Amino acid sequence: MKKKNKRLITISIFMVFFTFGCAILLFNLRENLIFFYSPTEVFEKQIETTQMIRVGGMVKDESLVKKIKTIEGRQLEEISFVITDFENELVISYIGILPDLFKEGQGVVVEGFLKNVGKFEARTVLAKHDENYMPPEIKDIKSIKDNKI
Amino acid sequence: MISEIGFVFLTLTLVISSFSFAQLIYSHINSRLFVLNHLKITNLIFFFTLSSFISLTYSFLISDFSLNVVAQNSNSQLPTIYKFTGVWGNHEGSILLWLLVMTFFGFLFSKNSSATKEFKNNVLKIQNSLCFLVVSFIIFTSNPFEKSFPYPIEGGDLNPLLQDPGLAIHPPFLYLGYVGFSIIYSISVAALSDGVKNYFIKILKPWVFISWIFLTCGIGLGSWWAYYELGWGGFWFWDPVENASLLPWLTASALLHTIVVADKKKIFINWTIILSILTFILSLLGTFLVRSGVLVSVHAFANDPTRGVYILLLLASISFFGIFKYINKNIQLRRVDITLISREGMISLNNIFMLSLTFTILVGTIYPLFASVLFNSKISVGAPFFNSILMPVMFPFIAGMIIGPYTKWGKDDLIVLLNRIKILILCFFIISLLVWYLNYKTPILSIIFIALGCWIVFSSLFEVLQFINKKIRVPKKIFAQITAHIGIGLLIIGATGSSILKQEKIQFQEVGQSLKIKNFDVEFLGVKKIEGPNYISQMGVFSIKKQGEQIKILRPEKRFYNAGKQVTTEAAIHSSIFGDLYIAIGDVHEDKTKWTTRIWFNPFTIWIWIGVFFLASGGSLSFINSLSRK
Repeated sequence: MKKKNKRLITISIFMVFFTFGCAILLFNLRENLIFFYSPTEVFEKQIETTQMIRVGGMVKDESLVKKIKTIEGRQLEEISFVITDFENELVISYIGILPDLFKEGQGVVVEGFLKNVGKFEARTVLAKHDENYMPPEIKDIKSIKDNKI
Repeated sequence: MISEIGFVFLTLTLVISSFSFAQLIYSHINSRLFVLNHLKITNLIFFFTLSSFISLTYSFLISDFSLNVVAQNSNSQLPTIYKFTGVWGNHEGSILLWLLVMTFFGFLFSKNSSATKEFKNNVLKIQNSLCFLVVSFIIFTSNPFEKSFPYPIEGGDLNPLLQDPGLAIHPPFLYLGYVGFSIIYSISVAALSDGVKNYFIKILKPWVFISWIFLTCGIGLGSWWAYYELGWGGFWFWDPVENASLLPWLTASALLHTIVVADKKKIFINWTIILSILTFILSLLGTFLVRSGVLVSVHAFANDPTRGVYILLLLASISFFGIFKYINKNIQLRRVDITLISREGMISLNNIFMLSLTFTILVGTIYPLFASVLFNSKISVGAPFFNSILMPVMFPFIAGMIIGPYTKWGKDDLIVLLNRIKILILCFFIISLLVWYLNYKTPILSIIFIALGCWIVFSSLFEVLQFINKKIRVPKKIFAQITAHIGIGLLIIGATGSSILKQEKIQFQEVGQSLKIKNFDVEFLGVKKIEGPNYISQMGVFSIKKQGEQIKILRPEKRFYNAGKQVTTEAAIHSSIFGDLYIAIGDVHEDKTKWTTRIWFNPFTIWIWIGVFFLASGGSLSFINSLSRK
């Protein structure tokens, strides 16, 4: 009987820790989820400007603009381009080096914050390793599907 | 012609391995009708797969563009070395390499194992059946010998990112690790139907070590490649593909610790089997995640969804078979009580943490998959999730790692234990103060983790010191453990430095302009045009000065590959034990006098690679031990 009690205690302690751990895990997960939207969804949904999101679509032809900006005495290149799902467009601004496989007329996913209507400040432009690769998220946007294939 | 022969060999592999598979499935019905020597089958399928692989390699070397894979992933201008590595630089070829490694492990097992003939036969029956599943996957969904007519005169290009020595050796190492777990799975499952005799642990042990070493090196090489080839200044991004390789590594590390106890004390036998099966399942899950393209990854390549379905079926059937065998095992093991403050207790603790980490990373990695199926929402889990979970777990984990090696087997007392290592604890205080004094300006978190990293290194060295004090030679087994633990300590220092303490500067830099980062002056001297064998490169030239004195010239590049019209970034790195100066060059401004440059200072990054080297060395020492003590 004593041995059985001991086991029961061990198991219940384990369960308490496990539940506690899972709770922390889920809480953390919820805090760090990054949602993906198409440009149309960005307009339709209320998105907080403090929430990091991902937006994907096709880079509009001839929309890439580079201009010089000075921050803290250093000259920086601010890149901006337009992504579209053939229904709505979103202007993306980004400071940094674009991934090697970035091209106008191709699909791209960016991560960052929505500034004001129609403007998006990207922290990261997600790179691809393969020229023929199209992120499944972009492939699934309905309007792109209809227009592309 | 050669490629046709390759396909014939592959088909022969399918036919012959199917015998093993058939017997595995129908063994309950009538095994006497159908007595087979699985050792012979193993030898045959290894040589057939090898021949098939050689003929594919030959087709790549002579640029036989009638084969689709060659036409898409190679061209005649490619340097010979990359023609060769191009064999596994694509889906079809890499799965063939996977099969080759799988049959190779079976072959090695049939030749060099102390097991009885009957047990060998049982293990190889399972191993050959696994090969059968993989080879049917190759033939039906990703045949490397597929042809098209008319074929192109010139091929496409091997993805320029893959044209690099780091990546050339990274997949074979990773596969040797991943696939090495297949033989561990086979041995464990065979042991289950064999009534789990104790000797199976001794048979299993060397295979655990060797697979773990290869996986460690594979992950290390992969992250080293990502570090210098991608030009993002980091070595780990918590990307699904990276996580996929980390999951089996964690469970294998747990297994590595458990199997030592299982061998010595004849406990944890059940647990060893569970971990073995789990590790192989996670390896397969990794392959599924990487190959099916279901998850959005920065490392994503173009994929074909039908392959994903097949791998998922493979994964399900192999997991089901393992679990089924486990539930139906005919053994009753004795139960032993374990106290926490003992070597056994500490190793159990290690396993609990390793598995918690595995579970957490698994949830973070596949949650987006569930969310897209269940709630139809497209999400990804950010790197902060993994960091915020990893950090608190690290504290008890490191504590256990320091105390663990000083505990006695069986039962130990905490007070006596602390008394035994009181000098060490004193050292910890001094180290912490020293680290704090040297880095007092930096974030507190970095000070804590660097101090903890130093603690691990010191406590391991202290172990050696104790043996020297007693005038005995350090036992080989303990020496291996010490080496590997030092590796983890160095890894923690390196990872902390290059993540928390990282400094980054991005700007337009004019020719002749000098920038200050850390205590370096980085002067931009200009850009040269260089012609490589199959690319044209814009090479930036930077003079690195320290206190006015030039110490090095760095030459980051931007390469334009002619065949595929692709651009890659080649970072230039100046490494020292205190940190890496890392430069990547971007585009030129319209006025042709300024270029975008991105300069990082990544403290202690070199210790990551040294840490991995120590880990692998520790593993190798254990491996040699496990062989010689048979």
